[in-house]
Amino acid sequence: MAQYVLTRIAWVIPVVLVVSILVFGLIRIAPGDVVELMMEGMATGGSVGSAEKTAARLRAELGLDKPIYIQYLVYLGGLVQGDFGKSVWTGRPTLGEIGKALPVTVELTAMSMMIAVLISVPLGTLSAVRQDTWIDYVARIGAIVGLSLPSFWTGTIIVVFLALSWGYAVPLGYATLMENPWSNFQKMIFPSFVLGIGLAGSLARMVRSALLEVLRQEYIRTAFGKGLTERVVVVRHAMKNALIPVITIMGLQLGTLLGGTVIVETIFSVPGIGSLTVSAIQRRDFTQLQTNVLFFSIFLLLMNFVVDLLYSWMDPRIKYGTSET
Amino acid sequence: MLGAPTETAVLRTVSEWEPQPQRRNVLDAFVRFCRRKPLGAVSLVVVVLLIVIAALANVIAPYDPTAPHYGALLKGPSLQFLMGTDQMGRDLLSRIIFGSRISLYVGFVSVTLGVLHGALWGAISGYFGGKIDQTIQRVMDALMAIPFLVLAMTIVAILGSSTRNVIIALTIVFTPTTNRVVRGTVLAAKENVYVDAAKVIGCRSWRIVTRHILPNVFAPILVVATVYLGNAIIIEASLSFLGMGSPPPDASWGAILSSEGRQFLERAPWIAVFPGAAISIVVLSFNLLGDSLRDVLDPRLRTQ
Repeated sequence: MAQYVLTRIAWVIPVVLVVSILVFGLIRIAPGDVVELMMEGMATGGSVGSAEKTAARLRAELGLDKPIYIQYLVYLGGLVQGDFGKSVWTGRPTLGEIGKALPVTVELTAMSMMIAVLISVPLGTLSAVRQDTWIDYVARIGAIVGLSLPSFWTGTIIVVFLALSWGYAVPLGYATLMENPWSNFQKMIFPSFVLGIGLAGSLARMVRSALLEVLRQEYIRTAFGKGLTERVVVVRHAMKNALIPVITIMGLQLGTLLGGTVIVETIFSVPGIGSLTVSAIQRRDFTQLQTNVLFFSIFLLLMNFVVDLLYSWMDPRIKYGTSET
Repeated sequence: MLGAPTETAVLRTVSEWEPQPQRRNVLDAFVRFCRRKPLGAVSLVVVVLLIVIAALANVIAPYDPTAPHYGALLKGPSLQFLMGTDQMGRDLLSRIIFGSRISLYVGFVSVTLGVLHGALWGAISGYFGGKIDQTIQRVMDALMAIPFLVLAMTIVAILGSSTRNVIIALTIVFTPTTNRVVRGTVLAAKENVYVDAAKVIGCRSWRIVTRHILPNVFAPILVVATVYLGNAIIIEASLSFLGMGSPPPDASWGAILSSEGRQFLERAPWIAVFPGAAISIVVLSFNLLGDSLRDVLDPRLRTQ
């Protein structure tokens, strides 16, 4: 197992390396002059002389006078030493900005995932147990509708609806979990809910089909045969096996969930990596953007890894790192 | 149930067998599809209707989508303006009808390009294997490690906001997943005896891939592409929502919701409600259609 964990971590490194090459290359091949693009975003409003100075400073900082592979190697050398470059906009290390934003996004993702599970497992189960009844149809249509709603719309509608019908202004922004847990909850619940219902749609569909598959197996018939109630059979016997493929889907949906944080964080002014990325793009702060994309991919790869571990913990038959015959 | 067919059954089948014209089969298949998957048929109708609306936008739309009506700023839905007007007095219904052009155009073009691109690399990767496969797959791994929306945003941010660049971004976004589907199918199809046979009679690699292997890919690709269409429309709308889509005065659905809708949310909620509803209905239709197609075309992926 330990060996498997190490190999998987070792596998993350080349992928992140390729991501860094892609993003680095993409920014360097941008049409036009990167520095001019960045300056556009800065809108310094200073004199022409100061603009030229800034341009010269940027060029020197980015090392644009050197060949591209040297530029990349210098960048890579920095990465290895924990130097991800400085934000063009604030002048502060990009890594520091990420450090502030990452816990917020982690909390948001975790909460949305919880909400998604709380909605999808009962919904999918009900749908499977009452297959082909109206409950099933309603649940299935509900799931596919949840899957089709764009998060920026549900977010906007929730804000409008609460304001217009109950005069409740959805609290925007962020409060840290440690310092002010109640305010944190109030501010995070709506964005998490918006992200959660999207994920709940695809999870509920998976719960349903996985459970249907399991319910047809013989040990379930045996369980019914010995007189157990439906509730016990479904919850104790069937669910355990049915939830395994659901975890796979959860892993596959992580990317969508993380992408969704960009939108939801923007709508609810949550200061996570998503809104940091949007503002980096608006300010043409490409060094920050580069670091953010890198961290999005590291986060996604590590989460996938956690899902894999969860998988073997849920299903003792799956053992990683041992060659099976 | 699967016993040997009786002699009479065989005779009857043989006697009934006569070459049917191709069109008849397509029509039959369509009728069968409608009977088996009524929800899929309804969503197909919605999709076709939408294509018609987009094509005939200038005939159907009651007003010019960019023409302001200064006497009717931020008016709610009425007989004159069915979906109300925005802060410049532009008719929302007309803007949404014209907006469908951008959504569908971006959706169809980017999914077609993404699928072709993904299929090309997937076929090369699966057929040749070895180092070529390894290299292609590592690049695809890296692309898949970046969340879809973040990847699309980054590409558009670097290339600049325009409809063309959104299409380029989405093409890149859809490449890795199609690549995986095609590669998997090619790897499985490669093992078939008829591929060996083709090799033995001296077919070239290109011919084997295009004639003998790629036809297997058609069904899974069609299903994937339908679901991607929904995704493409959501991503395009999300990019426009963030101000990274087609520049104004084009009325993309996401852009109506964001720039116009959010500012006047409390005074004119209809500006946010209708374009969002349009996106949801279209995406829902593509998702339902994709589901039904999967059930009909690909029994291995069938949901219960």
